[in-house]
Amino acid sequence: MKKVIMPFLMVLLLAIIPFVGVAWARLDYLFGVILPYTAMVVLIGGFLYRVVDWLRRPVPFRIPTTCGQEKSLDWIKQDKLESPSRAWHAAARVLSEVLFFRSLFRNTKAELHEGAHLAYGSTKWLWLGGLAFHWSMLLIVIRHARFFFIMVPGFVDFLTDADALFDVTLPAFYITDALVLAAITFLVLRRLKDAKLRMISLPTDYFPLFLLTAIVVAGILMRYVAKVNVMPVKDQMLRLLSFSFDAPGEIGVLFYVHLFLVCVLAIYFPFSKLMHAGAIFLSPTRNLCNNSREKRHVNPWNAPIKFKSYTEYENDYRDKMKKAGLPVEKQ
Amino acid sequence: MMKIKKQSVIFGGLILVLFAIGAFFLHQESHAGNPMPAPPLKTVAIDSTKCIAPTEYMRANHMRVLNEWRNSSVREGNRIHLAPNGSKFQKSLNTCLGCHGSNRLFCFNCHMYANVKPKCWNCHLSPMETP
Amino acid sequence: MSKYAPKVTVLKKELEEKPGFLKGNYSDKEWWDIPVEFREGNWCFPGKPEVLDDLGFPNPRKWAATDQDWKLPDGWQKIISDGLQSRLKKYRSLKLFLDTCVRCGACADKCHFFLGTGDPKNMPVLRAELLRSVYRNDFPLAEKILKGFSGSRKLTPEVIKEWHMYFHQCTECRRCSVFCPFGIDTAEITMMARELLNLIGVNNNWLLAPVSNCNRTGNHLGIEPHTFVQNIESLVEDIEDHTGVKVEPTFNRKGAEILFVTPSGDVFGDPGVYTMMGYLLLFHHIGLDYTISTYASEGGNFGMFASNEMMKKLNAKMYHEAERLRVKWILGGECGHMWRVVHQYMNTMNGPADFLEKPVSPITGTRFDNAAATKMVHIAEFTADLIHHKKLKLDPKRNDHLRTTFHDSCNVARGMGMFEEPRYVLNNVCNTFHEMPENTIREQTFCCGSGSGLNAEEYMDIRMRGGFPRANAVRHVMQKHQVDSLVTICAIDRASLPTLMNYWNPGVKVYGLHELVGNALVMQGEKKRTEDLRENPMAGFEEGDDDED
Repeated sequence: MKKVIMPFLMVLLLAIIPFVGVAWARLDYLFGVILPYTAMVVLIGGFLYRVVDWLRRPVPFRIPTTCGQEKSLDWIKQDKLESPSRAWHAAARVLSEVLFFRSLFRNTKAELHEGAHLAYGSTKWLWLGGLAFHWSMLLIVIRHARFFFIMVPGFVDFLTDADALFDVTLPAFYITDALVLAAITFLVLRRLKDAKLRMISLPTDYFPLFLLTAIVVAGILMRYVAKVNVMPVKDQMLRLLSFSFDAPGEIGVLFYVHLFLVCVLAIYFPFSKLMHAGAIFLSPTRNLCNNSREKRHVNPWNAPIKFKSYTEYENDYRDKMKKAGLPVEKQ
Repeated sequence: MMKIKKQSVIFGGLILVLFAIGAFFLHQESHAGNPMPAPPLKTVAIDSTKCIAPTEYMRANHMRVLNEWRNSSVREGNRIHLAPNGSKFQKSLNTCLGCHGSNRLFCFNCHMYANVKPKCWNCHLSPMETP
Repeated sequence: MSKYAPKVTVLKKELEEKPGFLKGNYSDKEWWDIPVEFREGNWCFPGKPEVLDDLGFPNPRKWAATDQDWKLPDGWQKIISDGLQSRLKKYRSLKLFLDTCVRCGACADKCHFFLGTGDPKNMPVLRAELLRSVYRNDFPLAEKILKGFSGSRKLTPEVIKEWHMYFHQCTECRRCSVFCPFGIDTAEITMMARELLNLIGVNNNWLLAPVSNCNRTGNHLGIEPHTFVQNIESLVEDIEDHTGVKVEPTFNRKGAEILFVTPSGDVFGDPGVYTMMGYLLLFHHIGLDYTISTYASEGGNFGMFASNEMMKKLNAKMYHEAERLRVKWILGGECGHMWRVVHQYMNTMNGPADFLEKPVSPITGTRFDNAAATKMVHIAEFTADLIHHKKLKLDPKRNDHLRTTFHDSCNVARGMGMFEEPRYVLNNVCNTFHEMPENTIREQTFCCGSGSGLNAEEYMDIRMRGGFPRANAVRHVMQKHQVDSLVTICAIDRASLPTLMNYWNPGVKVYGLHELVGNALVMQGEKKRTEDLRENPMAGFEEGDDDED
């Protein structure tokens, strides 16, 4: 289980670094100013680089995976989402993947029953866990807007209030905090429990899960347990957003743990599987129209090729063709 | 089938735990509303000459103090806060406002800055609302 | 039964009793520590030197997968590494699919080879990791720093052996890509990996020989023009014997309205020939002005399974011949991967076909707008349109002696999206159609296990395992609805499914859709029909029965 323990220890070690760095070595400036800027530059630059790197590679062929009836005869109903023939169909298809994980929703589980009989059942746990995880993360990020803007947009307030709907504990308990932890727990456990997943999982699969857990736990601790004065935190965030290089005020070390791990995540993001966030929009089996017989798709490097022409063929077989009564071009 | 069952148990269990936590707090809240035989009130005079804890601590933790005060005074009738140095305070928002009320924006400055909306003023009159 | 496969009872017992990943048993080994083991029945004979010479493919030599030394060419690592680099530049799909996977495992139990073998490296995610692990080692910067963390490894001869084994245990059927949240298509990865393997002479004769044949003679089976004609003419005689109708196909005829292209398996192989008889009867029935070419005499395209270049080279003949014969458009027969190529590649590679006209059915006047650019129509679309416009005189009772189910061919299903037309036709030519379970049909259909050039006799073990999920679904309807006829629209299916059915479900026969059309067609001037095209007695049409209308 080295591939589980190693990333776990890595995350622990990473969490200790800011403790030492801030509480002992007084490197607030490094952790509060230099690192966040570096991380953002790497994240934005890296993300753009990766996406542009994908985009500049050609799409030679139209290869959508058709999961529904193509557009054909008028009286046959086309499945516009699963076999798109117009750009907006394909856009809807991609969005349904991005927002609702449509393909994962199809997931089945195969089982071998007695008498060598295969059975397939619908299994939506991964879909549910993945959806809970990603949507919670998104909501949590949106909620953080209150640290970055003086005037927080109305929808952020609305979402925050919705998230605190239960209105228990003080400060009010956020549903997404529990959801994201439950979902991450599920996502880790399934990698450990299922033999297939245990085999396919790599340290790079556990690391982001553990890292996110650490980030969330540090955040939850700050909110509910080991309180941190939020005023200098917001001061610092506003400074960062206004590209100021002023030194941060006195902030609890737990905040630096949280911030540092977020920076690690940001730096790790563009070089890892987390780039699936960008790639999902570009997947040629999902974002292309299934209309290559209707409209010609152009391949920019369509290299010319030498094939055996009819003339060469007839030259090879003229006598046999004539004997068989086949018409020939040259007697 | 086994696999699916095991997964359901784990995930179902997690959801149950969440509900249990939620229900626990809701339960407490609902108790707070129940009329209970009021214990004899013990109280001290409002003393707003000094703060009940160091400023640094209060900046990060004032909401917990107030929450703890509310719970213990309303539910248990314990209205006296004993500071570590032995001085006693009445558990009342007025203890705080006796001093901090002089600046009507004392609460609002920071809460607006951090975009935090406390529930205090749902019942209590805020310094903004008093003349 | 083939000496290259275990007895069915043995394999059944193995599936039931041997611990496997499908059952959740755990191996302590990491996948890269599990050795590759070639044994009888799990490897295809390598390409013969003369075949490679003919195609201009590198490193022709005599070797076998069981050899210790595969005699790879000098500098093979560089060839692979350069080959991968250049393909990464040419295909966004490859780059994206190598970069994107999060190993969520949704694809793990979707592959028919995994379901049939329980071999972890047949999980699509691991199949791709076989290539990905090498790619990571060679390419992105940051991963290099974190070696061992990201699952990267060196390119060794062992890796090549692993590639050879597992990229030939993928039929490019795309079932995994239906379930992948990012649409990662293992077919795309397998195609690239096979191209790379071909660069160093690691290959499969059963796949390359047809490519070479097709290049030389115009079809995979290597049938020369006179034999091709003779064969169809013998089918014409058979049709006359069975029905009393003389159909009159023409060959290489200039000025015909339509060029008809179908896989050569329909001309030469059993039971494909019965499907061919179905086409001929249909065309005669509606008086179609068509011709068949002995030069573009192959619809299928094994080039697709070898390299992009070969695919393009073989496919080029169709347009070339259509232009020479001055036909208006092309009609294509029942085939799986042929339609992946025609639908998704042909016009891009070999078009534009400006010398052809937008396909219009001469019988119904229907314009096939969905084929406006490629100018090639699928026979099932064509026939469905005819039936919809009531242009065919059909008697579905003539197929009452069969109880049918329909097998969606992977490429037609997931690389084209044609689901309704064949079902519409089938429902109009027979009364006994029953669907297989829903997770095994349409876009979730299972491959026959022998697609993409793996139909070799010496590969029987893997083929019977790979076909197990399909056979299992057929068994389900066989037991539940007494189904005995598996109808397909794919020539590879017609070649491989009979073997698979004999192995797993004895008694189930394999039919082409248009064979059933041929049975049901009431031809003008026909004699009383008592037998189907296979000379099997029809139910309710026995000799002396006069209640027929």
